Amino acid sequence: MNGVRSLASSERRRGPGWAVRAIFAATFLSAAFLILTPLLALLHGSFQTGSPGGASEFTLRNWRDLGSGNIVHTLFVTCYISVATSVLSTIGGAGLTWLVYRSDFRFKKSLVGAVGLSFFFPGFILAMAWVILASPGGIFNDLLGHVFGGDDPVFDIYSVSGIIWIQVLHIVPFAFFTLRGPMIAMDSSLEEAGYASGGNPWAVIRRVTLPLMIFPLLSSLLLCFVLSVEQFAIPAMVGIPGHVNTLATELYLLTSFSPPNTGLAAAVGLAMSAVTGLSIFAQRRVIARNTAPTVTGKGYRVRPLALGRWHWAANTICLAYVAMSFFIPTLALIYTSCIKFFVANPFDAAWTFRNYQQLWESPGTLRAFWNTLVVAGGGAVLGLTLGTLVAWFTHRLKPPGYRALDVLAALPFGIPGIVIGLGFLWSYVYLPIHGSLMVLVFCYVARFLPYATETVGAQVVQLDKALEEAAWASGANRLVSFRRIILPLLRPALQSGYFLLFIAYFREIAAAALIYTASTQVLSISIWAFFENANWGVASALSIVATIVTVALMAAVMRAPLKV
Amino acid sequence: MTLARRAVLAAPFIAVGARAHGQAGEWERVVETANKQGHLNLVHNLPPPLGDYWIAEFSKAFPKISVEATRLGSSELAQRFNTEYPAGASTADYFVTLWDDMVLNWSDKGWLRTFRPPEAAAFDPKFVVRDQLFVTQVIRSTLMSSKTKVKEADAPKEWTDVFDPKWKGRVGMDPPWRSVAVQQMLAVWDDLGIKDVARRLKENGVRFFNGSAGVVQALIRGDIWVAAVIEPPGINAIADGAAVRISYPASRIPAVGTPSFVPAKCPHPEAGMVFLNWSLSAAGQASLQDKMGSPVTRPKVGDPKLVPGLGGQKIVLSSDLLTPAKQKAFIDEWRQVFGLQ
Repeated sequence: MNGVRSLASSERRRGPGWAVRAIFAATFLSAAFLILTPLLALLHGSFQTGSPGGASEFTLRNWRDLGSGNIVHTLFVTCYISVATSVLSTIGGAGLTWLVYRSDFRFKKSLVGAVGLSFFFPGFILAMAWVILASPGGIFNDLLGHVFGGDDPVFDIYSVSGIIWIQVLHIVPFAFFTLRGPMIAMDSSLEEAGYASGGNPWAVIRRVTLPLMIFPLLSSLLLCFVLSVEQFAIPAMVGIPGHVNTLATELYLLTSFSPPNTGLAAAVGLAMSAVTGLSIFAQRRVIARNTAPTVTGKGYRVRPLALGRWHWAANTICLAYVAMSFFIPTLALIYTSCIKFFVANPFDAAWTFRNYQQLWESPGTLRAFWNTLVVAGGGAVLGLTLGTLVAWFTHRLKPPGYRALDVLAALPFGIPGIVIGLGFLWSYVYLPIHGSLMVLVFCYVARFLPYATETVGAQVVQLDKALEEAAWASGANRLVSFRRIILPLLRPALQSGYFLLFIAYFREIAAAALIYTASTQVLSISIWAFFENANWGVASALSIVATIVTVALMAAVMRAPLKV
Repeated sequence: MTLARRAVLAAPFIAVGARAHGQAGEWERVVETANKQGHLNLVHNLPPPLGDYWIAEFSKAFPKISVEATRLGSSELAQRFNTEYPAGASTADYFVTLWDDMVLNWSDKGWLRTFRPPEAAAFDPKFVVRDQLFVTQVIRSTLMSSKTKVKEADAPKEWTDVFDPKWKGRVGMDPPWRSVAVQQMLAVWDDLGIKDVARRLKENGVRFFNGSAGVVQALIRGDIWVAAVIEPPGINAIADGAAVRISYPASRIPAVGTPSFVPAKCPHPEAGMVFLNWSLSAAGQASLQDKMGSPVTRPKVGDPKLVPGLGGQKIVLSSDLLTPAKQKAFIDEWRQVFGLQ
């Protein structure tokens, strides 16, 4: 083994070969071009008086206007909503994780499957469903009105609490999946010791589990905060009727409607990026400080905590969450998709299949399916390839400049989708590919690059270097060892990464809302456009069909043996 | 009469006939080129799916020209055209949107194609602007109410009724920063002496929804009970059997024209011109009125099926009242009152 190591060391001393250097340069330049171009366009736009393409002069006014009362108020509302959303989502996600991995909860597999379905459910579809359910004239209020009488609505989804409610339902699965790994990896012997010392379950959770999980919890909290700040569709759908504006909706209104204030929009976008970027920086620091023992060589198997008479409460809470985040919204959408116009009472409804028929007859919708397949299916391959290369360079080969690449690849995590979309609109309008699917693909690859690098990178660091070194010692160069050793071992991470990217690309609206055209419309935008045009029946029908098709496709991808 | 004299007298008629024949031949060449182009990128703000149905009628008449339609709100449409056209990135061959002084600005900049489609001869000259902008339809603002929530006798009949406290929290509209039609409605209200509208509506708990169609959906759902909104989505809802009613105030009715135009530079200009001419033809106009429900501008097409025609109504066209200065003043005031920058 020593011989192998010395051979490997000499190989490292020689530095990467020309091919590896060329691939590193291509990776670096691709990432820099995709991520920095829109940001520079935004920075330039924030110092201009007019729209790109028109007459414009240098100004500092846009940055000064950031301090105006309305923007400061909107920033406060955004932070309030995001803090509440992230705290509640993290608590919800941690609770579900604990039930699945630390208790004898009976329906673990079903719960994980249902949380996965909720994770897939795009936020704007969830918001649409909750408007149908809990708007002043929605199903819940109508039902309560008939039971208790009176015209005043009990629920009003068009409010700050309505936005928080939908966002929490939407983000809990994210918290669940980010906490799942640390919870599984946590050294259970410490909890066992707690029980052995006579601690009751609550005391063990408080004194052992929580301190051990504090860093993952903080990390999850910060990521949920970032996700909440950048939410666009949910506040746009339920916030605008209730006069609740967030930074994302403000930016959309500033750019999309008359009179536009693109300079201020750019400044708002960069301010949003600063808020989310700081959160990501804090999250990275939290992860770096996590020195608590997690994975050890000891083979303790955690003894699931008996829920006993609390089973009913656990069942009720889980069932309620799954029902409210997926099943009831889906039923509401199915109902809306089968009627001509909304009435809360199904017996008064004018039932029809015309919404599905219209989908079938619309060439635009069929093209949107195809475009989605190209953008989400093909684009995810591109995104995953770039992400894998970034992870390989930053976590394994570490050539000169790898730290800059690492920072570059993490940057989009802190940039909201609508901001990247605006940057792409401005920077790509002069390029020949403007208006093509390629712009959408580039935009998505840039926006979700961290998803790929984090997923693949987490597995790259777990691979023993000795495996590669053995290959080098056997005469393989770095490229061959990457192809023959690393890629097969990365298979689970690649599959998960592809799954994550596909879902992210599929459900993205914010980044695409400003750059799509008739020929590049994807499903999420089609649904959004139908909603914008108040064609709720068709929007619901398309949501249902898209959900079925995509879940089936993803199930096939996740079951398929991946040959690399 | 000598042959020479006859020839002299007949000359003007022969010249006119030859010119007409020449124009007809020229238009035939436009149609021929359009058929060869075989494609048309159309950008519109017509409410779906009605807009699609109307466009499908064109496809029946000109099967060799495939149409790719993008539906955008009128303000979004303007923003996109403003960004894409000067960058040479606009691919649209034909536009139809709501009247806004911005269209005259585009005309001043030379962004619009100048031509006279043969069917334009049938129109009142006020609907044919600079041989570039052709107004095909008139969209009226109306008062709507829910039949399930509001009795006929209580339904709002005049614009000021939306300030009535009995509708507190139950009034809906499209916000003016999204819609030129709403700005136009505010201009008429202003002219009628209805002032301080934003603050009064805020006090009455007005709710905003996405576009006029969004307002009508909210009305159908019961989120709001009354609304001040343009008519097409309401007509569509009534055609479906939804329980909404439309009232046209007697004082004055704001109306906005829908100008169509072909950009000066576009990939398929002839196809755009052919669509525009078809949209002005008797068949295109009848189909437009039939699908959208609002009255069209070509004479002798008849009244719409579900709502009254323009006869006997005090119609005020947007171009008569809504100046760019007023537009900006309204939007600034509303954004300020409702806490938007």
